[in-house]
Amino acid sequence: MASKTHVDNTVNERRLRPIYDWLDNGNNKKALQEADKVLKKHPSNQCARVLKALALLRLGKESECQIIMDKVRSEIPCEDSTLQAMTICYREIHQPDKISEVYEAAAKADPNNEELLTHLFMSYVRLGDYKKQQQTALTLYKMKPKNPYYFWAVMSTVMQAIHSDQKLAKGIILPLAERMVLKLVREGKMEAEQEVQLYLMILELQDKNEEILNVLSSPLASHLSYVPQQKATILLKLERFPEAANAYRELIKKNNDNWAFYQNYLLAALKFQQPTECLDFLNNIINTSEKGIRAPYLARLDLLKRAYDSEDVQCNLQAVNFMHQYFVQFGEKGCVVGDLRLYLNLLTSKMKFELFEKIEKDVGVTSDEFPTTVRQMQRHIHLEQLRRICGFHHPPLADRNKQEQLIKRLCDLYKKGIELCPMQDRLPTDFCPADPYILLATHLLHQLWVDTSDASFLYKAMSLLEHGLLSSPVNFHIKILLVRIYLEAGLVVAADHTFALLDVKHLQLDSLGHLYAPLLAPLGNLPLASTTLDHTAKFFIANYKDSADHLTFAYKYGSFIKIQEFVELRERLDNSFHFAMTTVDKMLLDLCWCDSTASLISTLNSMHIQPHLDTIRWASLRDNRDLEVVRGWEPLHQNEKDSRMQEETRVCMLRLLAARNAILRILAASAKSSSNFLSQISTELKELDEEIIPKILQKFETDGKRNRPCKILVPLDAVERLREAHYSEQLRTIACLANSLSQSSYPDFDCIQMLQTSLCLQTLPIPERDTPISFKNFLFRAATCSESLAIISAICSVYAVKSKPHASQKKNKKKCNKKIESNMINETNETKVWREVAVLLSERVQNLDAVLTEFEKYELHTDLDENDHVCTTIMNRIIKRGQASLRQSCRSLKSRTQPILRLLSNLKS
Amino acid sequence: MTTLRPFTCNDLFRFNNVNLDPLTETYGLSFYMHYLAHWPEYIQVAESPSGEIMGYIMGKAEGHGENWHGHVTALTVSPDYRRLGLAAMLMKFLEEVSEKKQAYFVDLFVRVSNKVAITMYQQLGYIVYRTVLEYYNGDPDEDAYDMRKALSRDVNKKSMIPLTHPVRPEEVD
Repeated sequence: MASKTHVDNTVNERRLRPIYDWLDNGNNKKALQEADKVLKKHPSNQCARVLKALALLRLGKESECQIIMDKVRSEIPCEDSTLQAMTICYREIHQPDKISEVYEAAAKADPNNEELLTHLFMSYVRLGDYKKQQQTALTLYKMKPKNPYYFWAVMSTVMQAIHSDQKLAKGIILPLAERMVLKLVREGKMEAEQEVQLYLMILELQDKNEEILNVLSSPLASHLSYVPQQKATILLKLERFPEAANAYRELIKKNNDNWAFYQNYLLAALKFQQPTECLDFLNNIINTSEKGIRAPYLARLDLLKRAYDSEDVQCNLQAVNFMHQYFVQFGEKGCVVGDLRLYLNLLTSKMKFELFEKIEKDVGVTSDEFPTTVRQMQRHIHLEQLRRICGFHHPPLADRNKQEQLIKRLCDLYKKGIELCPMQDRLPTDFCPADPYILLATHLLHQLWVDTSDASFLYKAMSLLEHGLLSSPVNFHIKILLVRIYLEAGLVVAADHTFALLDVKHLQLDSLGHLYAPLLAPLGNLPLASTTLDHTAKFFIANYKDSADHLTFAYKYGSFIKIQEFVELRERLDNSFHFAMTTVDKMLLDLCWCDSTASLISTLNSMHIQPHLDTIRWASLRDNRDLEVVRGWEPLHQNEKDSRMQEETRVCMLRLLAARNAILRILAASAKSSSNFLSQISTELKELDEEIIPKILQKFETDGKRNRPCKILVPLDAVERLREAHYSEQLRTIACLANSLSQSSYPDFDCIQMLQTSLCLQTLPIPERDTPISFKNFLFRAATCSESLAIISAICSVYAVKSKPHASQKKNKKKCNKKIESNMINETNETKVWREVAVLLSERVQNLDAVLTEFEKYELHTDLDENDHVCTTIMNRIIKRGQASLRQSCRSLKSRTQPILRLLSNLKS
Repeated sequence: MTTLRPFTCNDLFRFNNVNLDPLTETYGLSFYMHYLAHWPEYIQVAESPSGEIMGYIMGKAEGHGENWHGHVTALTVSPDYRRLGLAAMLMKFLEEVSEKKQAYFVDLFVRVSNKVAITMYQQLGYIVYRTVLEYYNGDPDEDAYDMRKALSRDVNKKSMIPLTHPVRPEEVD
């Protein structure tokens, strides 16, 4: 804790030290006792009181903490350790504005205290109050004319500009910031690199490129690094092409392997030079530089791409030659495929054939031979990857028959390949060089599964990958694909086991969470889902608390170039799609475990869901998925279409989130006396389900078939979940129920009919036995069924309880004029309907339970053959983990039937 | 061939191809933010022509007097991009930054078992300055080599005279 070092009062320190120690060790109970002990002797000691409040807060006693804090705050504490402790406390209680208030008061009481003002400045940084930051920094500078304070003020001004509209920023705020800096420049007071960088940032924000160039040529540049590079960038921006090209030529001569220099050189040079002149320069670099430098070779291809039409025959010929030469030189390097991929679109399909023929000849492995050295194998692998990128693994170039042959060939190549590099000869930290063969084979197997719905391809892929992992335990590409394949088969425990090997943590929970987390509950493993969602949510929440600290460090160290970046990171994490989805999923999951209306209502209350207020900031949501982490070598599209459909899958996430958030709000609205919100949200959900969702799902249909697995390699959690929610009629059913309840105090006839027929309350038939099966669809539906039953029962229960007193009020209003009898009839009718609904739902729950009980006995069949490269250990592992996956999903879904039944039995009475 | 550029916060979402390798530790966000806030010039990414992160280096400058030096905190290259000389390039970059800061030397810690890395650093001109006993926690704890290379300011290469005795982690400043 930072406060430890700042206790200036030694007596205080001696007394308070034990409290700090207990707090640091996480023993808040002891800390509380210790604080009470100190307070017995010194009841007014402010710091001890705040530490007591902090201990109380961490023990979950928020209101007691608040009372103490309010009292201390009213005394206007000025002593540093007290203020530091208060800062920590207010941060943990999510009241950063109070920190500013406390320091404002202290700074007023002790106006010449530099340290207090510094803390006040930092408290504004936490709040993002740029204006007050600026004022405080200037006050500080007046008190102590140190450069850092002055530039805090300048930076705060720049932040105001960045966060206000363009016109105001460029017209008033940025010119002001510029004048502020110029004042110090004129006085010759510029001291540090960061200060000059800030000056350049201000000029850049105003597009004052000429001025930037002047600064870079002035004495101020002596503070800066990479001046020639910065100059070149500006010359390019100013479109002074000959000078820019010249600058980049010089940079390339000094550093001939920096790719960005080549790209910018070509960008500038081609504006005024012939492509042949550029080519001469590149060839010259090639001839004068040492071997192994790749950039100038690749730059020649970049030149062709920039300068010529891909129809140009001459260009085509040259591209083939350059690519061939590139492969000859760098063919065994891991980067060769990614590098050439960028330029394959320069070639016609005929030329591609020609290129591969040439390369094949060089590699020297015919279609029935095997590589004899590791280097040869690497070249062979890279050729195969390039072929896949060019569509040689896909129809029309490869039909199903050909694909199966290819798989067999790749498996043989792998088998021979690992003999070339046995495990004991390799570093344990390196991948096995033969691994890409099985990755390629897996992609083909996945493709065949998609095309034929024959799950034996999935099990074959599992065995191949598990096999690969045995000899190459660090290869995360294998692990990622294995998780994908296990989930495709619906086997969560097996997927979990593999995912754990990736050791995903911290920020990766956000960027890689999509590989695994969103499908756990939909595939029925509720306990695993619950821990994973909890863990993820904790990361985001803790991070939000810390992220303001990082900003204060950036000011402290004067890293002005990083400040806006830090603010953006904070936004990016706070508005993460994965965070929002995790939160909603977790809330729904928790609500589905409630077994009484009382627990439902208290759970809903603790979640602070406001049916009338949609708290998700839809426009700011950020897609933080790392989709590139999956190695795929998917065929290139001519029009550079994204083969991973990032945008389309993002829209699916958006729709799924909207739908599930609507369900959550319907639940909350049912518990509150707000039927007009119920009507509004049900309309929203209906529209979403009927009009908006089908539009996006359409984009994932293959050959008009709606429920086929997708060809795309990256996990399609949102697509699959959205499909399930839509086609199972879950959304439709819930919208219908909510709409009905907004009209009358109990479900109407249509609604009951919907409940009777709705697919989301019925399971799919148990999959065929004694044959390899993907259990994904079966489990999806079983989980949907369980969740829908829980949600619908919950909505009915809280609504029925709420509408009862409501009905009696109505009766009072109407007084005796109306016939009490008719009301009585109404009420009995109401009770009757609720009972009918409860009976129907209970029946469905029991059906689900019976099916799951039956399914628990299911024996997994893999069809794996021991002769087929598969060793028994791996076969047994797949069967064992697969079987455990089915059991766990089954049991966890079954365990939810009891709470639902208890909820329904209340509804019946 | 790469583009060398400063590490930005957005790279934290994209560095998985490097960090999923078991040799590379993924730290909590605060760790990266601390370095980015304090020594932004010392953190660089090597990016491939297709925009993929191939590796990165993190470092800092610290110490007083003749102990003022650059330190390599993390150097990592994706398994897909090894043996391309990337590590050497990133090290050269860090040495240049340290030169500009007029540091006396650059140092780094490495597991004594990490033969590949040790050989590479030796090829780049680093020597084993001292052994730090049980520096890495684990089962069992592992010793570290503190490796050093003098920069131009240390004309007589005083910083590279190896210690004769190993030291304990608490003796390392």
